[in-house]
Amino acid sequence: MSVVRVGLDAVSGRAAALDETSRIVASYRGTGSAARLLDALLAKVDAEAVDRVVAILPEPVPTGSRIGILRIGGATALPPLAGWPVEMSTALAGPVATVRGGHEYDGTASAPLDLPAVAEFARRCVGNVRAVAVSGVHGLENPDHEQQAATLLAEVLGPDVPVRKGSETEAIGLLERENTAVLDASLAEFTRTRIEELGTAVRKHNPKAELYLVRGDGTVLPELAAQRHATACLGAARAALLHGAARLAGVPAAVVVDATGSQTVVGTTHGGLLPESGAHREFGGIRIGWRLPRLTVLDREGSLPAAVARARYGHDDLPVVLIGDRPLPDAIRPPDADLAAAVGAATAEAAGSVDRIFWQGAGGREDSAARARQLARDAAIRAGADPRTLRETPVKEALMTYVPVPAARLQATAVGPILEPVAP
Amino acid sequence: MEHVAESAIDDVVRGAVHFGSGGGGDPYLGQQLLVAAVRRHGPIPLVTAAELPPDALVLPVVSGGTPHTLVEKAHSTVEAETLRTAVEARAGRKCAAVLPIQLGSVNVAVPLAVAAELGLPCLDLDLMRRTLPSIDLTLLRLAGFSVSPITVVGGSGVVAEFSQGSDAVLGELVRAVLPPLGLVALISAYRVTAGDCARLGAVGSISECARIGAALAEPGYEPYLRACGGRLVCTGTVAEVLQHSSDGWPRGVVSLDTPEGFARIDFQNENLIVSREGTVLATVPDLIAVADADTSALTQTVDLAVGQEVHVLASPVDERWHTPEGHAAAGPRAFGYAVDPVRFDGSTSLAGAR
Repeated sequence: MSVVRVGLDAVSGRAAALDETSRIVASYRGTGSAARLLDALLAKVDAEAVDRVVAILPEPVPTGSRIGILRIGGATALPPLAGWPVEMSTALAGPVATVRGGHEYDGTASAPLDLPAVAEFARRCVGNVRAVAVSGVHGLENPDHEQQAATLLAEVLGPDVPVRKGSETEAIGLLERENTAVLDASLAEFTRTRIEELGTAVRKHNPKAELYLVRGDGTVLPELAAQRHATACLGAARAALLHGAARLAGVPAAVVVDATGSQTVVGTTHGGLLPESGAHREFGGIRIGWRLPRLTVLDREGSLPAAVARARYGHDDLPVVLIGDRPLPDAIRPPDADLAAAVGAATAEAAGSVDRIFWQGAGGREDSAARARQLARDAAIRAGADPRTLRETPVKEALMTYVPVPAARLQATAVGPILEPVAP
Repeated sequence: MEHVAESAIDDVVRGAVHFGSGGGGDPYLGQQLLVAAVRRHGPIPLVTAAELPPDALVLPVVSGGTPHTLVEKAHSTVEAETLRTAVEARAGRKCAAVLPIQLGSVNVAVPLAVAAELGLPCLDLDLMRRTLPSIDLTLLRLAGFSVSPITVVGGSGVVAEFSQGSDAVLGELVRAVLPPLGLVALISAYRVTAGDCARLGAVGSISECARIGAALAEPGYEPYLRACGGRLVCTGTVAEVLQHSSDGWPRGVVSLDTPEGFARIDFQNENLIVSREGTVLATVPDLIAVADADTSALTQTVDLAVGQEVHVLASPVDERWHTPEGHAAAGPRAFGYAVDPVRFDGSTSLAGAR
């Protein structure tokens, strides 16, 4: 029996079922929740054949439940939420504490973790919060103190109070990771509820089907990981559209022009990834750890050929795929263009990235580059990728400025097809 | 400008990036530090040197370390107090105001935040008029002052003092103590009075940041060029960003694909030289900024991404850097490049000879 993958685009109300060759075998255009789109689509497809459902959900609003916020180490001049819009911080913040601990850039502890202070913070949270965010200085270079604190918090608060750690976000900058953990924690209940509802709907049709959500880079997060990271999925609809448009056009990489809205957006999909802009994503005016893809947004007067030329930079042979209606010679206008995001979801791959400071003292640069690549591969495999078919980007290195020390920021990404479940 | 209120912070920090010349740290950290300080202590008062008694001792402040670690562990409130206590104990008297040593997004925000924390006003001037990578590269030193005494305060409560000696050696020593402090420290240097500051006359630094920052918030790069008196050097697409560290110092090159051929920017911490097809177009000590063509925002050079469309913009620095002494300290040769200084507008004259 042939296998079918489902892509659900609950933002535009589109659903598509694709076979292994990425051919559309059924589609549905309508309104309603992702679960309703799935029901409608599976009226046309044998649910038994569906082994994977990949969904894009509407973006949450940046208000959630009241949470506790714990900082390990770090500047007292810059406490958690210090620069947030006041109405946001007032709405979200329960107990806030900064405790001694945290690490240095080379992973050594700055001070022992103040466990009694963590326990005191945990007691203040009891009955007061729906979730907790814990972030430590240099938590990526060494997550030990975050982990110890999270364990203690779980013991005191029990399994019903989720704990989000800053080191779950691969981003340099304590504030960026902390802001992400805080927002993920505040949206934990909302996100879990709606993904569980969709999971229940999927399993009602086929208990063996796996559920994934689309991330902001157009690759997937497994169901349970997506419940933990609401902010990881911001921008999913746009990203899936870019990948999906290329799929519909039958090309592996492309410059994609989306002219369906009041503004025209030009982006690039290449090697299954969207080139990053380097700029941080914001949510409710708050900077978070995720990066924005490089997009050019044009109003009606903007020069489309110039934007396309820029998006193509370095890859002069990339074809141009046009979604929507604008005059553009030589562009591929794929059929079923309104299904682009749903198709992008159904065909999405899994990826993992690393972006942190590596101490290069002992093994030197080659050793740290190898560690960076391994971390990226591990993250991709955790996201669902098949380890046998992973592709890697070159490791990007930025040296420390102002101080001559053997440490550098390394960035790398691994991406590849999702691991197929073993045939029974 | 009489004080820095929350409403002025975005402009001040955005303008400070201009003086970073491609370095000086990510503005987000500076912006957040200032918002936190103003929310806790109220608007930060600015003073001119003339408003203080001429013999009043001032507290020069600079943030030492690397931007990558500062965004993890910015300074704490305790370090500001420790620094003041150490400087006052040695001088035997009280500090009347905080003095920024250099301009750049982190090093405008940190002295202002320190002033707020200590309940002192901040002087609306600085000693460098831009970001340069060493605390001995100041106009005060060109005027004959010694960089010592230097006080370094680390996050773990460590205080290191360097009381006398060759300025170049002291600069090396300060950098040498940074790694065990986690590459973040709050530093004071120079013995300076308000009268010294008045004679130096590098006035209006924070106000300048606010003015240039307001221009940067306007669409396009022309308002910015009018505000800083600079010019557009070229527009191009980032083709490559390379860094290597052959002599212990990071050296980097940005290659830009421009309609007039390939341009390159040589940078270490800040942008140092912009050239095209072998012709030097502008060099340090003038300021070389890179702006994203879409957003007009000035960018840290290490954050440039291949394929990004950018404008390279050069602008003048304080005239005193264009003296023989200024060029010897902060011209391209001081950074190891066999190139003579070229001003932002392509000219090569020394100060007073224009």
